[in-house]
This record gives sequence, C-alpha cells and structure tokens, in this order.
Amino acid sequence: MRDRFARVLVLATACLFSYTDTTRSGTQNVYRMEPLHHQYPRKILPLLIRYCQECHQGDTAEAEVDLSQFETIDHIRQDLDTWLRIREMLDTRQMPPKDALQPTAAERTILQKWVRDVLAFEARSRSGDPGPIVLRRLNNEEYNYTIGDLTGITTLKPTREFPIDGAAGEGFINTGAAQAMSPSLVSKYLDAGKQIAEHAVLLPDGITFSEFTSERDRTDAFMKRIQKFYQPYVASMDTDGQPAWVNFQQESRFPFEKYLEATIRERTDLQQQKITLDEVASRYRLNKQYLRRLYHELSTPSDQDSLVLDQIRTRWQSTEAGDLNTLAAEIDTWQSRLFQFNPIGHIGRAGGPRAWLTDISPVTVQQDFEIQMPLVPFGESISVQLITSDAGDGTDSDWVLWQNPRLVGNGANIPLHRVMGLADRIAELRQVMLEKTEQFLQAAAEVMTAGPNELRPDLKTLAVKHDVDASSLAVWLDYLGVGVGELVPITAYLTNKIEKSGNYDFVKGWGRPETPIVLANQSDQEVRIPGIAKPRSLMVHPSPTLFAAAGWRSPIYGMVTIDALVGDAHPECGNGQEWFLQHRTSRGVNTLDQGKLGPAGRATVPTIELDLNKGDLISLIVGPNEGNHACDLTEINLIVTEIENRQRVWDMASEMSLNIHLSNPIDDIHGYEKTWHIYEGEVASLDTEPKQTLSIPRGSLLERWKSEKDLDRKAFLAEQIQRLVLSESPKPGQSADAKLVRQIHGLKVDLGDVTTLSGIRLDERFGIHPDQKQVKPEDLYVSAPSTTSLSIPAQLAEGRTLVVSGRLAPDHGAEGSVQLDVKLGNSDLNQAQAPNGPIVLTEGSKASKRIHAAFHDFRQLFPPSLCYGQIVPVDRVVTLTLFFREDHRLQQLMLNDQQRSTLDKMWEELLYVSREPLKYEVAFEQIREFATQDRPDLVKEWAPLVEGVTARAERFRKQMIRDEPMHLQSVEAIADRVWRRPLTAVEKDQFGYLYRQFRNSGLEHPESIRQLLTRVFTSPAFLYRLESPPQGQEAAPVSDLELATRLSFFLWSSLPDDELRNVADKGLLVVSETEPHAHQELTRQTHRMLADSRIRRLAIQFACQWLHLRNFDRNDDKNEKLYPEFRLLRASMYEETVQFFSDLFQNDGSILEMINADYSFLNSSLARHYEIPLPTDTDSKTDRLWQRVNGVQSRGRGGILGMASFLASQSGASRTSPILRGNWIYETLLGERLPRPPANVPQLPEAVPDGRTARKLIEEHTRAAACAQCHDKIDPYGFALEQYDAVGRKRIPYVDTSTKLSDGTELSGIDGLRDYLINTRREDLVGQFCKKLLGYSLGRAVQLSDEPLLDKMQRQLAKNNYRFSVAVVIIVTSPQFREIRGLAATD
Amino acid sequence: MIDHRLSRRSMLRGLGVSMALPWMESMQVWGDVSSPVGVSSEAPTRMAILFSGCGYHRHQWWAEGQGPEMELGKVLQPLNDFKERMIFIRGLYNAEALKGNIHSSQTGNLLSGAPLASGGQIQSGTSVDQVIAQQIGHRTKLPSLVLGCEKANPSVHKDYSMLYSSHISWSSPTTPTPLEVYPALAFDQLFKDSRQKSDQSVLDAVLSDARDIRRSISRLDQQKLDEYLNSVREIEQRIERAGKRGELQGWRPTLTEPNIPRPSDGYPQDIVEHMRLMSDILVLAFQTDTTRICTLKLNNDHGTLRFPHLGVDYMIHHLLSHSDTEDWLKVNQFFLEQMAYIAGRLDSIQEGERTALDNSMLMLCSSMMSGHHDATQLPVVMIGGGGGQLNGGQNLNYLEHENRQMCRLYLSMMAKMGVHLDRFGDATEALPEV
Repeated sequence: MRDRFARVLVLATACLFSYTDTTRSGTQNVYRMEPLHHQYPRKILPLLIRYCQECHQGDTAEAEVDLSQFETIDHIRQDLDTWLRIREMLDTRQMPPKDALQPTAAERTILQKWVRDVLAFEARSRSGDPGPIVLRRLNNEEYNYTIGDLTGITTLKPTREFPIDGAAGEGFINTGAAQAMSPSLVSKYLDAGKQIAEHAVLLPDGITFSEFTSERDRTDAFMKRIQKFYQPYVASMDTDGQPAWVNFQQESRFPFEKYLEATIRERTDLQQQKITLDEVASRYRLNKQYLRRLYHELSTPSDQDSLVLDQIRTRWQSTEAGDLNTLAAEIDTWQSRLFQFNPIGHIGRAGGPRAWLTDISPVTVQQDFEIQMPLVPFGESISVQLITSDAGDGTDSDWVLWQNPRLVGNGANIPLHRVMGLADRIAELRQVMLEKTEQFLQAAAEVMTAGPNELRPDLKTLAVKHDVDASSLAVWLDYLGVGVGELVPITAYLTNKIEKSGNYDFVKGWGRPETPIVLANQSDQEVRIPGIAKPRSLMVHPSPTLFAAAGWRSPIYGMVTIDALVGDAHPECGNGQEWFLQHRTSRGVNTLDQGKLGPAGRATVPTIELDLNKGDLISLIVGPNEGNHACDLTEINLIVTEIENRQRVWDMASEMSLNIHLSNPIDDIHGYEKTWHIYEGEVASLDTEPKQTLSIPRGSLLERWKSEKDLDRKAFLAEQIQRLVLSESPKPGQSADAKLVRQIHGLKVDLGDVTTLSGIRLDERFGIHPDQKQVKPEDLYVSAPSTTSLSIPAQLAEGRTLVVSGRLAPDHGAEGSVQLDVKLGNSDLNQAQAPNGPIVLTEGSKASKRIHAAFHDFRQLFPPSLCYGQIVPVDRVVTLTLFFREDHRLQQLMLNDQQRSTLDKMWEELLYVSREPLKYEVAFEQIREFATQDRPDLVKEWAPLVEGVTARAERFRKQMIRDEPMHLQSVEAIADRVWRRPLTAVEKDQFGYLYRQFRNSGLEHPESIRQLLTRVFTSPAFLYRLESPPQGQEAAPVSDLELATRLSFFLWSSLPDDELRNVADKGLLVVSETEPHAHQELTRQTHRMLADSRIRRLAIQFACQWLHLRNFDRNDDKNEKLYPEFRLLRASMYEETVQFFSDLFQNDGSILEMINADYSFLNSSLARHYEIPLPTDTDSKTDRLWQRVNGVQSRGRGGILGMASFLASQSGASRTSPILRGNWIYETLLGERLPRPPANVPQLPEAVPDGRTARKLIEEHTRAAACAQCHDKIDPYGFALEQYDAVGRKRIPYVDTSTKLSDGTELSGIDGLRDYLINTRREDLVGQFCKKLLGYSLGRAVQLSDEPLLDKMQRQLAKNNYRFSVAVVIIVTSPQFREIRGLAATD
Repeated sequence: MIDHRLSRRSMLRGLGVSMALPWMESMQVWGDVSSPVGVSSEAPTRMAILFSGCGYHRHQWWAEGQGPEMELGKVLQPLNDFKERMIFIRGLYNAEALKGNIHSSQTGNLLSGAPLASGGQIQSGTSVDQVIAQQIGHRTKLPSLVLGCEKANPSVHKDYSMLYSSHISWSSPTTPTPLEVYPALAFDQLFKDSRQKSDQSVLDAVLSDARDIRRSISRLDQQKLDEYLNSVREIEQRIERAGKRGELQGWRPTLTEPNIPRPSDGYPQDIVEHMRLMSDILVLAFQTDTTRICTLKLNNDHGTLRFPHLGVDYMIHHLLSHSDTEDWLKVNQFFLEQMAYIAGRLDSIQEGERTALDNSMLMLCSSMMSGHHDATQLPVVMIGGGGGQLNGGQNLNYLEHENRQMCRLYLSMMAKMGVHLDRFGDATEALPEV
C-alpha cells in the first residue's frame, strides 16, 4: 500500500513551494509546504508527545495507533490513513478523551489546522488517482439487468436465489472487494447460463430469446404474434348478430360492419369534404386502404351493370347511421350465397377443396324442387305456389318452363294439371259416401254387437249386405275402431332353435347362428352369457341390419292396458340399442313408443290403454344403434292386461321363459293358440312414421252411438248422424259435433286408381305457350314475375312429394335470368321476397356473364373472412395441418408491402420454430400407414399431397443445415455484446472448435448452440468487468469500450446499449483533454442515459442502497399481529421511494429535493396510508396506477424523511426506534461517525412498560455516561420524527416531537428537522451525497486523493441549483472515472 | 390375512427403497477385496459448527460440575439429555474481536482469529471449517456445506462491511463462503447431479478464458480471478470424482439416497420450519457422507430475525439482546434446541458400534458472551464423540488460563478431523483437554 504513492511523492516534492489550495470549508488560504514541514518537529510533535503518546505509543498503542513512529513528515506521508483518523478525532473532539489531559484551545487549533493542511496538500498532490479498484464481478442485480436487456425478458432473473452479494467500499454491492466466488457459485453460474440458453430460439435469421422454454410454448408465442397481427381484421368472438352460416368460423369473420358504419356516419362530411377518408380511418381505427376502396365503391352511382353491388349501393345511400342491420343482413346473405367455407383437413385431397374459403356461384340452368307434402286432415287442402321472379336485373327475356310438376309417391304419381279435376271427383264421391253414413254405421253396429268369441262377418259380405262399397266400409270401421277380426300376418319367424347359450343349457331360444336371436333364461339363477341373463327373463339381440322382436297377437276384442320394459343387459360395452313398441292392425302400424338406450340404459314405457281387435299384434322390437350390434343383448318384457271381462294377464317374460321351445309361435297359458311370436325383420324397412289417427270427439253424437248398447236407440242415433253430416258443411268450431262433421267430411274417399281415372278436368293454365306453340300438357310456361297457385286436397297429398324442374324457356327465355321458388301455404304474394335459391340462366348467355361479373365484384369487396384467424384448424374433420395460413384476401385488401413482408416473416419464423414441415411429414406418413389397413380409398385421395409434403420437409432440412453456421455467428454476436468487446480471432476459432466438439459428442445443433451460449455466460469475460491496465506506474485512460461499460454499469447497472456501443466502437468517447471538444460525446451520452427510463436502476442500486432501503419490498421485519397491513403495503412504500429518485434523476432535479421535496408519488393504498386524497381519483382498487402528488408537506410528507419506507425500515418490529432513525440521519444521511460503542453496554429495561412512549423509555436508559456519548448525538433526530409510527403512519393524537440536538439547536417535528438539514447542514448533506455517488460510480471507497474532486462536485452543485446531472457529469469526466492505475502502481 | 412368517428380507423390501440398510448389511463392504489398502473402514469423523449471533442470556449460560452430575443454566437446558457427551467450555476468547468495531468485527473472524480490514475493504482469514475442507474435502462429494437461516446483509456498518456479520465461514481471507439459505437449493447441492458431459467442455473453455485474461491484469485482480479459476477447477474435479466415487472408500455410508422429500422452492416464511429443514439437511449430509464439514448459521450477528412462535416479535438485536429478559432466554433456548435436535437425529443413526453422533463433533458458539458486545470470553459448547476422540461430560474453564485463544480449540478440532497444523490464527498449540 505504501509503495504505491512513490510516484505522487515525487510530484509532491516538485511543487513543494508553490501550493495553493481551497480547503473543504471553502476559505481561501495559502499554505507553503515548507513551513508545514518545519512546523512538525517544532510545534506539532511536542503537542503529540504531550497529549497523545501516553496512550498511542509502542506495542501497546491504543487502537493500534502508534504516534511515536511519525518522526518526520515523510513518515506521515506513508501512513495517511492514520492521519485521516487523527483529523476525524480532532474535528469531532473525541481525542484526547475527556478524562485525559486536555490541550488549550490555541494548541488544539494549531494541531487541527496543521493536520488539515498536510492532508489537503497530500490530497491535492494525489488528486485524480483512479485508485485501487478490485476486479468487479457482475453482482446479482447487474447480472439480471444485463440478461433482461439482452433477451428482452424481464421475468428472467437467473440470480434470483443466488447468495446475497456483499457490500464494501462506500457500502454498495458493486464493489469488487465484497464479491465472493466459490465452486458452488460457479456451479450456479453454469446453471444460470444454461437457464438463459434454454430461452434461446433459433430463427431463420439468427437467435432470439423467448419467454418460454418449451417448444410448445414458444410455438404458441410465435403463433399468438400472428394472431395479434390478424386481430384487427377479424371480429371478436362475442360480437352479436353474426350470421348463423359463419358458424364455427366466427373467430375469423371480417367485421365489415364497422367500416360500413363509419362510411354512413361520416357520409355527409365526406361528401362535403369536411373530413378526409384517412381522418375517418384513424378516428374509427380502421384500415385506410380498405376504407378508401369501400367508400369509393359505395359512393359511385349505380351503373346497372353490377347486379349485387348495385342493390347494396342503393341501400347504402338510403341507410342512416344506427340503422345498419338491414344493409348488413343483405351483405350477409350475399356472402352466404357467394362463398363457402371448407374443412381445412380436406384441402388438397383428390376431390377436396382448394382452399378454406372458396367461391361459389349460385347459378344453374335448371332448378329441381322436391317438397314433401305435409300431413293435414283429409277434409282440408294444401296450397302450393310456383313462384317465378326476376333475378334483380329486370324481367327482360324472363320466360320459364316449369317441367312436369307432379305429386310423386304412394304408388301413383299425379301431375299437377290433373289435381283440380281430381279434387272435383273427390268431392263428388264424398257426397255419395256422406249420404250412406247411416248404412256404414249399421254395418259397423252389426260387427260390434257380435259376442267376443262369435265369428265375425267378413268385409265383403258385410258391404254387400248393407249396400255400401267395401273399401269405404273399411275406412269407416277403421275410423270407428271396429275390427272384423283379421290376423296380422308375420312372415319372418326365427326358426332355428338355440339349445344353450353361454354354456348354460337353461338359456334357450330362437335365432340365427350369429344374430338376431331371442333367448330366455328358464332358471332362477342369474348368469353371464356374456351379457346378464336374469332369472326367468327374456332377451333379444339384434344383428347390424336385422331387428329381433317378440310379439303378442291379441286373441280377444276389447280394452287392455300395455306395460313394457327394455333394458341393456350388457352394460359394460356397446353403444346401446334402439327399440320400438308397435301396434299393428290389418290396416297399418302405429308406433306406441320408441327410444334409444345408452350403455346400461333402461326404459319403462308408461302404461298405455288400447282398444284392440282380435288379431292385432303388439310387438317389442329391438334394433342395433347405428348399425353397431356389439353387446346389444337386451332384456325385454311386455305385460298385457284385460280391462273388461275376465281381466286376464299375459306376461311375456314369464310365459316365454317357461315355454320358449314348445313351438314358434307359442300358445298362451289361457288356452289361446299362437299368441306369442318370435320374429325378425329389416331394420331399414321398419315402419315407424307416426300415422294419422282420428279419435271420435268426446260428447259427440257418434260417441254416444258407439257406446249405445240398445240397438233401437243406436239406429236412431245413426239416423241423426246421417242428418247432421248432410245438413251441415264443415266449419271451424270447437263443439264436439262441429269436430265430428269435419272428421266425417274428411274420411278418405275411395278414388280408385288415380292414374287411370278418366274424364278428369285439366287445369287450363298448363300446357299453354304464349305463341300457341307446342307445349307438353303437364308443363307450365310463364313469365316473371308470376306466381301459380294450386290447391291440393289432403287425400292426394298424403304420402306424396311435389316434384318439379324449372328452367328458362328455350325460346323466349334464352337470355333471361330468373329465380324460382316453390312454396307451400298461403304466403302473401305482394310481399314475396327475392328467393335465396340460385339464379337460373342459360349457360354462355350474356346474362350469365353479366351475373358472374356481378358476383365477382361483390366478392372482391365483401369477403366474409380476410384470413384464417385461428391459425390452428378447428375443423370437425381429421386434419394434419398444424398451422393453416390463408390470408391473401387480407394482403390484397388491407396490407402494404411492408406489412406483407412482416407477416411473411412471422409465418416463416412460426414454421421454423415449430419445425412444422418435419412434423407434418411425420404425421402425414403415420396417418397414411394407419389408413392403408382399412381405408385404401383415403390413401388414394391423399396421393396428390405426398410429393409436396416430402419436398417441403426436404427443403426445410436443407435450410436447417444451411443455417447452422449462421447460428454459430449469432452466438458470437451475442458474446460480442455481453462480453462488451469484440471477440478475438482465436476466440472465434475456439467457438467453432467447441461447437464441433459438441456435435461430435452427439449433441444436436440446437443443443450445441445452447451449450455454446452457456459457455458465453459462464465465461469470466461476461461475469467480470475486466479492464486492461497499462504497464508501468502511470495511470492511463481506459479504452472506449471499457469506458462505455463503466458508464453503462454506473447509470444502468447493465451493459451498454446499441447506441453507446456504437459510439464506443467508433472511438468517440475517449478523447484527449487537449482537444477542443473533450468529453463532448461522453457528456452527451451521459445526458441521454440519464433521461432514459433505465435510470430507475440507479435509483434502486445507488439511492435505495445508500439509504438502506434496497429490497424494502421484501422487508420481513414487522410484527404481523401489530401491523397486518404492512405486508400488503411494503411494495408500495418501496415503489414510492424508487419512483421519487427515478424522477429526480431522470428529470435532473435538485438533490436537495431528497429532503425538502413538496411532492411525492402515490398509489391509492399508499395515499390511504398517508391520509392524502389523490388528485385524480382512480376509483379503482388497483395499486398499479401511480401519480405525482404536490403539496404533501402540509400533510406531513415530502422528501425521504416523510416516506414510510424510511420510517418503517428504521423502526423496530413492534414499535418505533428513535435511536435507529436518529442514527440513520446521523450516519447515513449526514455521514457523521459515532465513536465506537462500548464493549459492555448497560442493561436495557425488560420490556416496553405500558403507558410509556418509546421516547421516554430511551431517555431514561441512555443517561448512563457510556451510552450518552453516542445517544446524545443521534436520539434527538429520532425524537423529531416520533409523530410517525413503526409503519410510517401519522400518530394521533399529537406526540411531543420537540428536541434539542447535540449542537444545541432546538427544533420540532419533521418540518423543523427538514429546515435544519437543508439550511444548517446543507454542506454535510451534499458532501455525503457526493461521497456516496462517487464511491458507487467507482466501485471503491472514497480516498484522500478524491477530496479535491468531491470539493469540485460540491461547488458546482451549489452553483447549479444542485442539479443531479452536474454531479454525474463531473464524475464521468473525472480522471478517477476515465482512467485506470498502471500495473506497477497497483502491484 | 397377514402372513406372520414374512422373511426379514422381504420385510426390508417392503419398507421401500429409501430406507437405509441396517448396519450389518452394509458392513459386508469391510471384507471387500477391491478396497484400496490403507483406506479406513471406520466411519469418518464429521464436524458441524453452529452459530447464533449476539451471545446469550448473561446469567443463564453456565454449567456446574462434571459428567452426569453436571448442572446447566437455563439457556443450556435443551442439552440436558446430552450432558455425558457434552463439553462445556468457558473462557476462550478471540483477541482480534476486541479490536475494531462491535458485531461485524466480532463475527467475521470468529472462526479464524484473523484481524479484519475496515474502510470499505474486505480482509479476514480462512475459517477453520474451510481450512479443513481444503485439506480433506476432496474425499466427499462436497468439500463442505455452508448453511444459514438468515440472508446476508448487503451494506456497510460503521466502516465495516456487513459481510463480516453475515459470514462465519471464509474460503479465503477475502472471500466469505457463499451461504445457502434456501433449503431446496441446499438439498440440491447434496443430491442434484445436473452436470452433463458437455459441461466439462464448457468449463475447459472458460478456464482457458480465465488463464488468458490472467496474463494482462494486475496482481490484485489476479487474486480475485484466481478464486474463479480455482472454483472452476474444483467443479471439474467434482465431475471427475463423481464418476469414481464409491470405489475409493472402504467405508460406505448407511444411506445413499435422501430419505426426506426435497423441500419446496423458495424462502421459508416460518423460522421454525426453516431451521428444522436446514438441520435435517445437515444430518442428511452427514448420514449420506456427502460432506463431513458443515457450518450452520442460525442467524446473523446484528440480525433481524423475529420469533413470532415464541411470542417474541421485536428487534432481537439491541432491544432484545441488550436486555436479559425471559424473551431473550426463550430465543436462546430455541437456538440450543436446534443443536439438541441435530444431536438427537445423529444419535438415532447407527453406524456399526457407534451412532453418527459418536462419529461427529458438534460445536455451538456465538460472537460474544452476552448481548452487550462482551467478547472477552466466548460461549462454547460441544456435543458428540468425534469418532472416539472426544470425552464427554467435561466442564472446562480457561478463564484464568494465560493462553485461552479460541483458535486453540480450532487446532484441537482440526486434529480430530485429521488436519494437523503448527499454528492457526493466534494459537500455536491445541487445547490438550479437548
């Protein structure tokens, strides 16, 4: 240590006789070294011997200060540290101790002045010494900031859980001396390097860093970037009123409405040129390019050429703001007609679509209609309209031929032109039938009165007997529910006996070798076959196409109840079954109930009451669900109970399980033959359509007739009914007889064979040509607009479908364009809307070209979607596509060249990062292999894709290999940046060598690059702030890069940014002092960096660290029970301080503001804590909103003294501590030094006694002389702040804050303290600030040779309103900051 | 139905893989012919130093009598069960701690007896645990384990860096050994082997960086960089050793895998849980022979730990430690309970004839006698057999002794660990009684 001053000593001697200095106190004095030199032996040494050496001498010297060694002034120069201590002891009057012999005032002044003068001279002569700076490692915070700046990921803090950095020098953690290194720390650095490298993402043009480490998350992030780009052009999901047809594509819908709305709202202003389109675009946040185009298209007058757009233009012109819906709906409709969304998974497949959104053209040369006729009561008729309208482009040439309109089905087709005549015929026949009502009733009565077991007459005999026609009689009997005892035939009995099932010979049944089968468990044991066969149960099992059924054929007439049950008997597997409960009569089928069973499903049919005729069949039918018959064993049961007569019961399961193998059909237990039937049938041919059934109106004459037993009265009633139906025509009404009349008038009339019926009147509108040319009689030849209405009797419509084809008439209509429609019911003809069907035209006609062009114009302007916004397909079909890009419409309509290339780049990066081409290839291959087994058709369809998939993957593989050297270069570029210097050629070689080493050891390229990055971040070149000292003794300026690094770590705790690095690379920072503009660039950069938001780091690392507030947001020192709110508030308290200093530094405030600012930065919770209303009421509970609040001194805040962070950190866990606060002001803020505390302090009281303030307590117990020595100096400051509690709240009521400082000043409260510090102690305050800032900037303790620089800082600050930047600029331009000691001087 | 005839072996299997084999099973290694000659088959001696700051209750740190009759002051009550295996030592002191400042300069050299530098510089001495680790640490996966239950304090207090207050273990005169305060990370130090083969290439490369740089910097900086260089080398050697471990030792630990779960990430909020986890990790480190040297700093001298579970929730430093109250006593006892817990855990681990406690040497001390900065004598208590080298039940008093340097005790402890030095700190001879 001592040798290192050899050089300056030489210099000092050289200027020994002409030394002028300004002392710390600022008074101008002239000292001559020679007198100082001579004074020592004559005047000073005797004083030292007399007053000091008794204690400070020889081996037993107190405090290891041996004054006897300082024989001459040269000895003093060699141990200035001791003399600095002597100066302090004298200045603070600590020495000689009070109990020792004291010098006179004059002697003390002489001694003091001489020591000061010697030190001042020495300081001056050594001034500018860069000092010994121990090699600095990046501390944990600098490491994190650096990585944050490099990667742009602020959440990445690799050193978060590293051991805490130590502080040294002036108390900062950026001081090399306190920075340890150890194997465990190296290990942590290695892991941290790996952690950073994990975030590296290899891109086609270099390396970037992602917040995410998994490929999946990164890919998502890149995808979200594109989605975000798309976002303004797609409607958000929750937009109301979207057309249903867009359906699941909603997220990608183009929200054209907001553009329309803007054009409509601003239409007038635009027309009057009060506003430009670009202004509208920015006001409504719309795309300018599209808005211009849209407005241009819409505001152009209709030209009659563009059928679709013309309609829209017209509507646009008349649409007012707020009434957008109709226009929007019209556009929606056209979009749905002109565009089609396709499943993405089918794109590129043979026969598949070419794109997601494709054009469709709703045109045809012939339009075919097939309309099923609805079921209506036979007395009524159905209205049908054939509508012919123009296509919106006028009616010229709009002649249409409706070809052969007809009703098809029910075994007989009926051309529409015959319908009118057939209706007449039905009316005639009905009249005949009505007139014989009485005879029909009498015939029925004969059947009804026959006894239950009597043989009934057959239909023909009965018809002849009563002079009615047999088929009409059948209609009547059916209507009345009277049967003539015809057996319902069953054709497909199961004929093979099954002797045992599931190895149980008591489970027998009937069925095919496979299925269907019907089984019965005859035992009392439940067994697995493998479904569950319950004791005494009946089970059926269908095949994929055949149902299995068990039926009961009624042996009786009369009312019964029916109960049925079906249940899945094999619940562990299968997809369930479908079932039907049917009632079949000789006249048809009625499904009583039906349903589907899920796995383990069970259904019990609610009891049904039925009037049965002998021979009717009640069946339970079970089929597979969707053709899948696996595990379809089904338990069934049917119970029929007679209501009248003998109330006998037929129980299917119990009877069949008993007798299943007797025969099929099986006789029942009541003695009837062939009651039970086991059969099968085609599932497809099962008639399950609901059938129209008429029930006789309650209270009507007919009901009375039906229940009448007395034959005479029955005949009388029949006569009355006859009269009723003839005298009244059907009319609406709810009375029983009105209903009855409607029913009887609607009974089916026997027309016979409608196709051969002759003498039918033909409809005159058919078969007519406008020029009397030949037209088929059944065709209809009309011009648009027209509507042809027909009325079809229900009896003709039943079970039939209306079929017709419409096309332009070949002669008159060749150049026409029409739209056709067929409608049922009576629609209002005047309001007939333009049909949504295709436009019918002739291929190649002019009209056709015109219409296609019109469609094109619309599509160009109003695509329903601009891009596939989801990117990941949400098809409902299997798709291999990972990411789907379809955005050409977006590019055409909305984007400029730059945006297009940005989009291309993002897509390129997405596919690169996700390695999509390779993944696609693998997935494609896998699914093809999978499909070859059972879907050879698919393999064929995919064939066209193979080549493209393989080629793309191959290209990608090649690109990846091509990119490897580029990534290596990117690592070098990163090293260049974070090592804060260019790499040497040797280092570059070594990188390449290391990379190859990794590859040779089997690491893949990305892992090798990551490991190489780890190497970059583990290197001492990164971890240490290395600088090259010059040879020899002389200090010399550091290099440009080193200076840039010093500056950047000083102000930003991080590496230089691009601009600073650039300037350094150009050599602009270090310039010799003789140049006219010395330090101009250095100063410019300093000011730039001060104004940057990164200066916040200086607020934390320097200001908060100095004031012992750093990491206050994690302060854990408070008693949670007493201060539960502290944990929630501490981060806000800390943020106030950080924001305060950030603001001060960034805006170049006065450093005195630190004490006397009348403003602060508050969020809502801190404002509540301080009881200060916020100027802007944020009305939100979020604490993220911070605002500057002025005038806070009047509320007891302002400056650091009023901040909760300081007040709380310098308090105890449970109460305030005036000692801590006072000591903080004394030592931290003012830079005073207390004498050493006594080694054995007296005992303090046991606890805080009730009712006594902390102040009282302390006052009582620091009276001991040993304590008072320190406490008198510090406690009074603390007492002034007693108005604030241990978490910085203002105490209520008033607390005594008046205090007397050790220098005799009396003051009170925070205001008094502030005034005292700012006025009386300003120099000490500023001096301490300068000392700390200099120490922080240099990373070492301030030394004697820094005193002139500190003086200069103080003077310049005083002259310049104490602006912060003044101090910073003086530091960065000082030799201390810019230079480095020579190697020899250091060693 | 329980089959009572289960064989013992299947019983062991049934207890799961993390259970240690009983001693007899692992003893088979003794006869292992592949064991290199001269390597001991005896379980090794382990040393742990526990520290708590600010001394103890002025009137309740005492022991009277010897052996089973020894009576203990209230602070020491938690050690009652260990009286016969305990050595109570009174009167040792550290001369350097009487110079300089309070707290910092009483702690930073506690385990080295070295003078401390002030004025923003860092200079102490290599502490006893690290001197031993540097000699014999290569025998285990980790040379030493340095644990703490309170984070270091990054500031400068009265001209002395708070590094001194925060670190008792020093790897070199200028470098405190980084302190692990996160239980999960401490656990990982023991058991996580994340090093890959390619890491060795990375380490080679950065080592060569450091060597290149070394040529062009000052000697002062070279010293700093050498810490890095040596650390990197140490890691490399560990990777090498990791491949060979097991072959070199005649003795094998009774446990090879952790038998406690990895603690959860982050910094424990509860001090009881924190100390318990760190104690468990210390025991686990010894039991698995991952290291034989450990320091556990329970709190910082001049620290801010609070003890809400004891109902003591105010400043421990100053108010608490300067006042010899019941509260202070509670806190003291809480510290001693940690020592008792560790001793108890070690005593439950059988290593042949002896327990792990018999093979260990636990020492607890503080920076001062009582909270009044009185470092004229230091509180010291030891438990454990030190591998048969320590005789328990002793009550030693050096107060009247002329040479009562704390460093003499360290010389004694080093010798038990197989490190024989002529002098250490301000001492030139060991304490013969220990």
